[in-house]
Amino acid sequence: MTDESPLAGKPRRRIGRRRDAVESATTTVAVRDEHPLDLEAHAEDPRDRRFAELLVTALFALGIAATVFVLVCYFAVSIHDKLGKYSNETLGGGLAVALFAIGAGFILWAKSLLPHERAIQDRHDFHSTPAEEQEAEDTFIAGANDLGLGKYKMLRRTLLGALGLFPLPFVVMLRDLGPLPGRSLLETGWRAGVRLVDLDTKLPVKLGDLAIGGIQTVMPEGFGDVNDEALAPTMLIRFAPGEILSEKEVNWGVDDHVAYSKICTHAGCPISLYEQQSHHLLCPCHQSTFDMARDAKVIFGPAARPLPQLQIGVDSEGYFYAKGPYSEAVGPSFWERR
Amino acid sequence: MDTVSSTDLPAEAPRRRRIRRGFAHLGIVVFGLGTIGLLYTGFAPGHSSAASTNPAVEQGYQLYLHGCSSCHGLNGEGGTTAPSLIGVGAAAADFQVGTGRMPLQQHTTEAPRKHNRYTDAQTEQIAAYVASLGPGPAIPTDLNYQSADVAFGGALFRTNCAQCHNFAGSGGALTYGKYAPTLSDATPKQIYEAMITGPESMPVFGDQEITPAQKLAIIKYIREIKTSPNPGGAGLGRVGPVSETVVAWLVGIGGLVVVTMWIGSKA
Repeated sequence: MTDESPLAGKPRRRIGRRRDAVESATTTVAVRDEHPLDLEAHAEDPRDRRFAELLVTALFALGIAATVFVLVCYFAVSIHDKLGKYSNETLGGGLAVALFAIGAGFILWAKSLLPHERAIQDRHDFHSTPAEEQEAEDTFIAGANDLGLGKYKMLRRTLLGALGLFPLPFVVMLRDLGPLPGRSLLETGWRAGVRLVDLDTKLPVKLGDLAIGGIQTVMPEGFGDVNDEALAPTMLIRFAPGEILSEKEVNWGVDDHVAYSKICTHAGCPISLYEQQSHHLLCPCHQSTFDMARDAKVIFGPAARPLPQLQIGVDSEGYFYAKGPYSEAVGPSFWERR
Repeated sequence: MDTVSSTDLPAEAPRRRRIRRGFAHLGIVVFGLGTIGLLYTGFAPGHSSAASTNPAVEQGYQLYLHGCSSCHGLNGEGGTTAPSLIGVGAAAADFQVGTGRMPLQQHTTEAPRKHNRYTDAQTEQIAAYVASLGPGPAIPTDLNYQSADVAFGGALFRTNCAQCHNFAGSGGALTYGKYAPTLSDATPKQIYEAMITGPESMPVFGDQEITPAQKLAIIKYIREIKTSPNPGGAGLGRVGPVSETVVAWLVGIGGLVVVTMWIGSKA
């Protein structure tokens, strides 16, 4: 930008103040050839222009070649061939080269070959003339009078009725946000007497299956789709004797085995990042950390409550079973439970 | 000793008497130390007599004395900084030494995998010695995982392993600076040993919980994801959307911004 421009530094637009002498909206484009041009970018020498032309041509040719390369790669090389594993790289790389060459050609063309003239367009005021404003106002009032809403009583009432009723379907459709969850958030598949089975093998878990320091993901026996019973996954953890520090936790478990909900009480992520030495359980989503040796107490992170514990026992055949459902709601907070 | 005793004496005492008393002090100390040493060798528990019958155990014990005993104790009884090795089994020793985690370089929250200074034979000897201390999991021998069910192994991996080691076995963070390591360097034997021994923070997955056949399926899955190609281009550590977003924003969009500014500056 050169400072000798007569328009430089002069604001052309005013905001918030109406001027009396308003000119009509016109656009003036002044071509000012007399100002020195930016000769650095603009090639004046015919030999330079010839060179620039060749360069742009070469870039466009590279664009053609790269596009053809992409097409050849797509059709000639099956992705099941040995070379096929490079398919993504060749296709993406070829397209990138083609697009870059075409774009670079455009920019070089504009910089080297197009005439560099400086055009200045004056800004103009955006509001209309008083006459035009008056005319618009008159038209509006005349139109409102012509409608005759004051005259046609029936028309007016039915129109109001129609417009008033129309939003109703949208309000009614909010019903589809439901149905209300009822007790489904409070209940899981766990009931008194149901056995603990492995999530993958669906085999019941026996006392002694788990090694000391072991953890197993279990479900209620006879569970169906895990996605339908997303609140049921439970961790069975075996401690070494004397490691559990809470009396309630000991009483609700069997022989150093305890069962806790696998669903984080913060946002419902499944958690079993269990550290057998520190007895920390980490939720990978927001780093809530539970101390499994102390009633799953929250020792770090955003979780609001400890994980619920499932009361378990061992039946006469040696299999673990639930002594009852979870005594509190499992998983994240909801409206009735914070 | 001399200097200590000479400062105790008055400065005007005769020189010879001072020297004689110095020797007497030295003699008492030597006698005391000798007595304590004799008493110690007399009362200290020697390592089990069974060790000497097996040459591997004996050689392992010699390696153990040099590399391990300063922390784990002369007889694997453990110490203030190291756990007891009695009953951990050969598998635990083979895993810890074989992956280079032991001997520790320094006490940190997590023992990193590093180059194993011992040969395979020496590692086995140390494992044989640790196994002689008490019954524990043995080094797995049947590692023929090639015919295992990789899809079932994947399901087991996602239920039991992926939460810490990442769905592609790339590892991940645990609490308070601990971490689950990547599985890409682990050999099938080491993966198996880790499951049955539960090194450091890792839970133990005994054979009753995950059967040997299921363990082989998990190993098959880990090997499969390690050798499978990255059809989408660069894997970026296979840690999911985090690294991909970082690359897209910093390299991709950052690069575009730089190029745009460069074009603008040339106008």
